[in-house]
Amino acid sequence: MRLLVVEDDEAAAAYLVKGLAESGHVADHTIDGEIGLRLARSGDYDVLVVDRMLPGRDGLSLIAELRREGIHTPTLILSALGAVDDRVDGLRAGSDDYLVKPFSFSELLARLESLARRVRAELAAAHLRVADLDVDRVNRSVSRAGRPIRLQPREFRLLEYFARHAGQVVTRTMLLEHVWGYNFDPQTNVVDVHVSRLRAKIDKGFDPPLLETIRGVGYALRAP
Amino acid sequence: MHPEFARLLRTSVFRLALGYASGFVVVLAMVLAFAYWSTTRHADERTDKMLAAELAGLIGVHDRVGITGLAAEIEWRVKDYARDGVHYLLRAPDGRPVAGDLPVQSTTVVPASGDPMIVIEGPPGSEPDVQPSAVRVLGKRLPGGYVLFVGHVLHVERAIFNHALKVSLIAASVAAALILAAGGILGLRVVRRIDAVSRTAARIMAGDLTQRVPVDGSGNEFSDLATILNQMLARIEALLGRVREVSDNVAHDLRSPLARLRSNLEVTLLQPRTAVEYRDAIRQAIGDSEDLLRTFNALLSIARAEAGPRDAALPIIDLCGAVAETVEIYEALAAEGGIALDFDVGDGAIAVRADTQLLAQALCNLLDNAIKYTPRGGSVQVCVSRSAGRARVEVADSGPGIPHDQREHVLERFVRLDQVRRLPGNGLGLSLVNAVVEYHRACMRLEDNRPGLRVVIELDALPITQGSPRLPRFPVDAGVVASAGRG
Repeated sequence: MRLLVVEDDEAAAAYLVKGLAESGHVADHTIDGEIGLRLARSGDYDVLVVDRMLPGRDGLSLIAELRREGIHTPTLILSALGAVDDRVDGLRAGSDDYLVKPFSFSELLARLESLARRVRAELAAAHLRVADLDVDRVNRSVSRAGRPIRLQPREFRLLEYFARHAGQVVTRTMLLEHVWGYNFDPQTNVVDVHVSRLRAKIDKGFDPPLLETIRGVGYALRAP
Repeated sequence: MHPEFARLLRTSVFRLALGYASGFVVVLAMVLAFAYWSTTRHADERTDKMLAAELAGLIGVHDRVGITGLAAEIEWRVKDYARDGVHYLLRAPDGRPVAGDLPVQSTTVVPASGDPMIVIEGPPGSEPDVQPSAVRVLGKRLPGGYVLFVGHVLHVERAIFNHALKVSLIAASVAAALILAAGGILGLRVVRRIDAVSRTAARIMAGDLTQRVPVDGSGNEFSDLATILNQMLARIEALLGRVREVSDNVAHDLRSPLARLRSNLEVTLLQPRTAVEYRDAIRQAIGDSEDLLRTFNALLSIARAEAGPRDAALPIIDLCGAVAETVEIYEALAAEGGIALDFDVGDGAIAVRADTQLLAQALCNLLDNAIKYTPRGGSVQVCVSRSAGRARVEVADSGPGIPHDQREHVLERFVRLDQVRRLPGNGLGLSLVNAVVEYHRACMRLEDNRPGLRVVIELDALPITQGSPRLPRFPVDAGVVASAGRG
């Protein structure tokens, strides 16, 4: 995918651009908010990565201006400001995701890919399918190879989130944020336990396994 | 001018006293003026009546014995009545005095007819003891061009009045001086007390936070103010102490993992290694930095919670629902560790004002600890109840518990009891819970569960309202966060 990084910390931006390039993406970089806005208007980008405090024009106003002009390129804010109110400000300005510094590169990459591949039509789809796994969002039921699988409500929400992001890497913090609504990391990685329980229900006795652990990053639900 | 005196002149108390003193003097002057006016008027009326009677008597004498007899009568009366301050003059038509001792000018004209005319002349030269004074004179034309004057020296009334005036002025001066002195003393006291506060403030600004404003125990408004100021200073000192403690702890606790991270990388670079070895070293470094970040984030959360609620009131949430959600997360973990997790939510919702994220984080830490320290086969009980306007959350485990004398200690940052050092953790869990409890102005107790630890948190419950809509687990804003980026 093609990305624009608007970030005034040049060293951090250099690592970012290098990391993105090595992951097979193309990234442009500017340190100036006003230049960032002009580049973003060209509309050639799949995702924008925007810092909040920038010379020229701050990140929030950059995004708000883009949205006002009807440009809806998915945007992720990178910021050192991490309080709940700061996140709310960012999302209200029109950003699609908010990542607090310091972050792990794999976390950022997973979120960027999730934003870039987002297919809006899927949001409303009644059925989500991954190989022979079927998630019925209307009746909130799940079946694999035609055999019904009973899930707890929370397990269903977890699987639904995986299925909406089928084929993508989903990190633990993404799950905590979207399935449980938590902005913090519990001391013990409780997410792992829930994912392994879900895996026991949807993969045990079936072939091939669909819910994969990506070491050091998170998980991915995908047909091999 | 002496600088302290100049400051005294500027004090509000002294200015007030000065105002009072001048006001007092002005009012007194007005009272005296009125007294003078009314007294003299009264005295003049009396004098005029007396003079009119005297004049009438003498006209009667003239009518009976003629002008010569009148002159003799006047001479006689002058000798007899002078002591009472009454004086006479009979003036011939050519202006020459015939009898009497009033020094009335020969040019003084008295109307030919009508009422006797009152003139005021003086002082009479013949009465040295009434100087300076005035004579009130009544004149009457007699047939044949003669003019008869009767006068009365005003020295008696004037003397009494002058004496009263003198006394009043002395009293007024003394009173004004007393007021000014009192104002000065009060002003000086205020200046001194305020100077004491200023000196303390200056020393505190210079960096000595242990300074306190002197309190004299008199219980007056200054010592009340000093007490309040000292309480404020103590609070500021305590807060700064905590900030210092946090930064000390951060420095201390982040330094060793940073050193580990760095030496791992340096040792890896010492000699050429295989790709697998490099990969392992890098992975190790990432793991170390993740631990560092976790500790760092925990410290940030504590700092945020300790800063207290920022502006608007906290949202109203259902405590039972919030606890149930957290318990649900940990059920899987407990089951995996062979621990029974019981949850008793009681009946219905309990409305409390709380920050959902902080509350959930605190509950996560409590459940995390409970499950971590409870051996396989043990149990953890979570109970939410309501009594007497208080909502109560209990998390009890059957683990080793915390010895009585160390319960205060474990709430401090980075404290890990010796018997649990082998378990993972950064020693910040209970500190965060404590900070969250204080954030909500709730209270927390660590109790003995025989065996194990029971943590009890009590916070204010809101009154139950009938037919109220279902309480949200997340306030609106957090909902935005929770649903954002979906897709």
